[in-house]
Amino acid sequence: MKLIVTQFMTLDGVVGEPQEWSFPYWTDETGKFKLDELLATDVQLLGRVTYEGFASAWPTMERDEAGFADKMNGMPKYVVSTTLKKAEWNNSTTIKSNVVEEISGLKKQSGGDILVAGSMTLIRTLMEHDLVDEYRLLTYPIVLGKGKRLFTDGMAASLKLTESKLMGSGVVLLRYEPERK
Amino acid sequence: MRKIIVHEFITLDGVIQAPGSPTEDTDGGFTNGGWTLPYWHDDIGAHFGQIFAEADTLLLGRKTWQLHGEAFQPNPAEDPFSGFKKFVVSSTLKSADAWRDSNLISGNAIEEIRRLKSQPGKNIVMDGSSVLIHALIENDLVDEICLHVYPLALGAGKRLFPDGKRVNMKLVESVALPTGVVYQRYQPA
Repeated sequence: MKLIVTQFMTLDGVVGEPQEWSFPYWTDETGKFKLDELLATDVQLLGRVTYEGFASAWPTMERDEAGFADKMNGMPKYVVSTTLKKAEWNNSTTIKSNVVEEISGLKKQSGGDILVAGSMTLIRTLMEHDLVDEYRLLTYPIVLGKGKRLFTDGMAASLKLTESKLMGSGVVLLRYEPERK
Repeated sequence: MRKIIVHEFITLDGVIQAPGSPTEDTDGGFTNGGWTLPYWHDDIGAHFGQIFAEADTLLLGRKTWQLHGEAFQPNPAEDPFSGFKKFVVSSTLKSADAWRDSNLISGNAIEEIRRLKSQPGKNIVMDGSSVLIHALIENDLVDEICLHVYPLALGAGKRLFPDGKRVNMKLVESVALPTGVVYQRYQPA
C-alpha cells in the first residue's frame, strides 16, 4: 500500500489547526478531491493528537450522502502513541512500539492507500525512515505567521513535483513524491 | 502609487537563503547554498523579464545589494540592472557608492519607502533581502509576491515570512515548470 501524507498548508508552511483558517476557501473542487482521496484509502494512520481530534468529532458527525462520514468511521484506523490508554473510535488499532516495523509491515500489504492527515510528529518519523510515498499539499493563499509547520527544523527532503492544479479560491494542489535515487 | 513587487526563490519549508550559490550567504552555518541550480528552466528567466519590464527601481537589503553590486559594478555592459535606480536599506553602510545609481536609506526606512512608493515611476522590485522583507510585510507595504517554489525542504535557513503577521492573499497566477518548480504570484487580498 502507498503511504500518502495529505495536508492543508498556508503560504508560510503552516499545517496546524486547518479548521481555523481553511473553511472560507472551501470549493467543490476541494471537496471532490478530499472525497476521492478518502474513497481510495484503505487505512488511516494517525498520530495521537490528530487521532483524538478525529475520534471526538467523526462518530457524531451528521451522515452525508457522499458517504464521507461513513467511510471515516468505518475504515481501519491505526494510531501511533505510547500514552493513549484506549483507542475507542470504531475499528482502531494502537501502535505502541516498533513503529517503523509496524508501518513498514502495513505498507507491504496489498490494498488501497494509507492516508496520513495532520499528525506532524508522526510525519517526522515517517520522513526520517523514508516511509512516505506521496505528499499532497493543498496550498492556501494565507500567511498565518504562527502555527505548526509540516517541515520543521532539521527535516530535509528532495521531492519531485507530480501535479499542480488550481482548486478555486486561490488554493493550489501540489503533489510530490520523494526523489529516491 | 507605485507597487512593490517581491520576487523570491523559496523552498517548501519557506527558506529563501542563498538560492544561487554556496558562498552567497552562510549565516547561521547555512550549508545548502545554491539549491536552485539543478532546477533551472528558461521560463524562470522569462518570469524575471516580465517583472523587470514593468519596473525601474530596485529596493534591497544591505547583503543582497552588496552581492549584486560586487557582481555587476565591474562589468557595466553586463549589468542587468543598468538603468535601474537602486535603494539599499542599511544602518551600517556609510555610502552606496559601490554600485552605480544606488541610494542609501539609513534611517526611517519605512517612511522613506512609503515616500518612494508615492513618487511617480514604474514598479519597485525586491529580491533576496530577508530582513527588509519582514519589515515591509509587517507594514503592509508589499503589493505582490512572486515565488518560484522549489520541490525541496532544507530544514534550516532564513525564511520569507515573519512570525506573528497574518496576511490574506489572492492568487494571481500559478504555473508549473518542467523542472518541478512552481511559479506563483500573490497579491494582498
